[in-house]
Amino acid sequence: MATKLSRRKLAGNAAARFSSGENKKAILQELAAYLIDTNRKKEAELIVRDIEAMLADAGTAIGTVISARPLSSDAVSTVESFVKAQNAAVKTVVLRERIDKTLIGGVRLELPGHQLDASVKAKLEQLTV
Amino acid sequence: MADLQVAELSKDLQAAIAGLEKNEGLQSAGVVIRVGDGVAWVQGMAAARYSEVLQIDTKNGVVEAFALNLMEDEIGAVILGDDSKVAAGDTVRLKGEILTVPVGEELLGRVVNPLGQPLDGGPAINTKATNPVEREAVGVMGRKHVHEPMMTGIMAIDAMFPIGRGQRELIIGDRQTGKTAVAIDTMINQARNKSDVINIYVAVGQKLSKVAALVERLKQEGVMEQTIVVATGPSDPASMLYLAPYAGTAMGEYFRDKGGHALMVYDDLTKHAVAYRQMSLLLRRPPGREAFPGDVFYLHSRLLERSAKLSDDLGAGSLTALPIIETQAGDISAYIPTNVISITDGQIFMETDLFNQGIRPAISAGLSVSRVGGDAQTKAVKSVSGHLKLGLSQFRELASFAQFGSDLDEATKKQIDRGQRLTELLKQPQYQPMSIWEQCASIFAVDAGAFDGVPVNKIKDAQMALLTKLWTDHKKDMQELNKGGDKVEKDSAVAKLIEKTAKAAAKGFEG
Repeated sequence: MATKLSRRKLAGNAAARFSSGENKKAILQELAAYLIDTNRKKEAELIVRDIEAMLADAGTAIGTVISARPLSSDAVSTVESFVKAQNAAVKTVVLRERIDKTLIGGVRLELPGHQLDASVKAKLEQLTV
Repeated sequence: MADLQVAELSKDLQAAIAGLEKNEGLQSAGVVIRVGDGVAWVQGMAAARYSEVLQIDTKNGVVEAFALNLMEDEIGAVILGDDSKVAAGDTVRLKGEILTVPVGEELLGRVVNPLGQPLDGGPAINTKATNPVEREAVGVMGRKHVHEPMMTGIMAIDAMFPIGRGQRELIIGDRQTGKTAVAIDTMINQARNKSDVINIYVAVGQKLSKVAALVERLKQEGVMEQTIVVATGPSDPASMLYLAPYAGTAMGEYFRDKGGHALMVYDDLTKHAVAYRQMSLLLRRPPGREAFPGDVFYLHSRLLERSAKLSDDLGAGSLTALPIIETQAGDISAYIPTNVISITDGQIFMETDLFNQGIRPAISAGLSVSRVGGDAQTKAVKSVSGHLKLGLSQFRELASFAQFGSDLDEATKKQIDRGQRLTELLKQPQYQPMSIWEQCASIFAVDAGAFDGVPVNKIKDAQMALLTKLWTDHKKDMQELNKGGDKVEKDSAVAKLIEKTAKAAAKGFEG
């Protein structure tokens, strides 16, 4: 029986190849084919998270910044600087922006394996607790 | 709402971020990928430690869990509480600490769950201190040998299988043989003797009606003020049943480490092993013998090893344990019973046959043992109980010949008669623990032959008459005897007094 490759091994292989500059489309095609072949399509999102985590360790942090209102470019730059300051290994920060009005104010930053919730909503919930 | 300038918003936001840089960093976070049967599987959080508390942000608030399976791709976390609140996709954060419970005097008199939350409808419990649920046992050099008695008030135990402070004595037997009754009487005796021992009763998967009745009885006997009850019912999640003994031990260690003395009752560890088996199977750990995980011995050994007598350097406190194990059909050679027997410092074996014959407490003198023995006995009780075990074991050998009454020689008849009287003497009603002087006087009277003429079915009446007379007419002597420091030697004044009073009391019952 073939040994099942763990998600971390798959993600590690993909992340290493991304970092070395290989063709992104080709890597993703191979990964997709493997997932279909091994009936593991449901793990796609999880593998993406693992890949992002490993890319962060390799110097590229991919994250999502969520705010109640659109952020200015200065604010985005501040967040990027913050991310670099948290981890000296990070050289490049790629941020996706998302709007969530339920946060009321402040931001929530989601990075691979980490999170920073500085939203007003979180602070109100802490008060309730 | 006033018009807000985007620039102001941006400035405020940057200020908020700058402020956060000073105190908060990024928190390690993961996501629930699937949940069911009390177990949440979490992706991410490579920094999670074994047994670390995780906080799951659900729509209904924060639900806590603790990490038990640290695997390459995911973490298996056992949920503390209702798993129906947790959904796939929920964010999980590390709390940064292992599981702790509140500990302290504030818990005395209360009924709590393994997380220290009240179950008795009383006010919230605010303790100054917490203790980790899982903790390493004290090392060799931090211990002292067991030398102080833990009087149970049950004559059969105190005379033949004495328990000391810091000892682990297993109570084992089939269902409905009086195992919990022995533990409760021991707790009641601590209050009666005004000993400084704190009782902690851990109910693992016990019927809540039974726990409620127990609490009520403890209140009636005035024991509840020095007792903590940690209760989990059969409908509680397996994680709570698993944690209960460890949480209770953490509470007991608080008193032990302050130089005090505490008594742990784990009722019962069989249900504890079953709950752990359930958790392990749901965590996909490989099953071993009887489907228990391979570390089921370690489950109990690390729990019971925390009960100890501390050295003088560490305050000389003690934590005594009375674990209870339920057997099936009297089989003490089964997996879990043999595990716990090998861990503890002795066992009290309760037999169904004895119970059905009316011999209660139904303690088997042949199979029970205390590995600490005389070191944990008061001098007074030790001096009178020397012949007790021997007399009973000789009686056991000859018991089958009792039916041949007239065909036996005098010596055999005498041994059988003595054995029958000793057996009758050791019967004791529930909730009536006996003090040191009562035990000494009763055993000495029978051993000296003062009750040889009393019919077996009148032995308890004769005993009662003896004790009443001694207390009424010779209270000071009995109070001195009750201190337990002096031996009751054959020619001593107190021995002669007991013998004389016993013979006088026996006259009214001789056939």
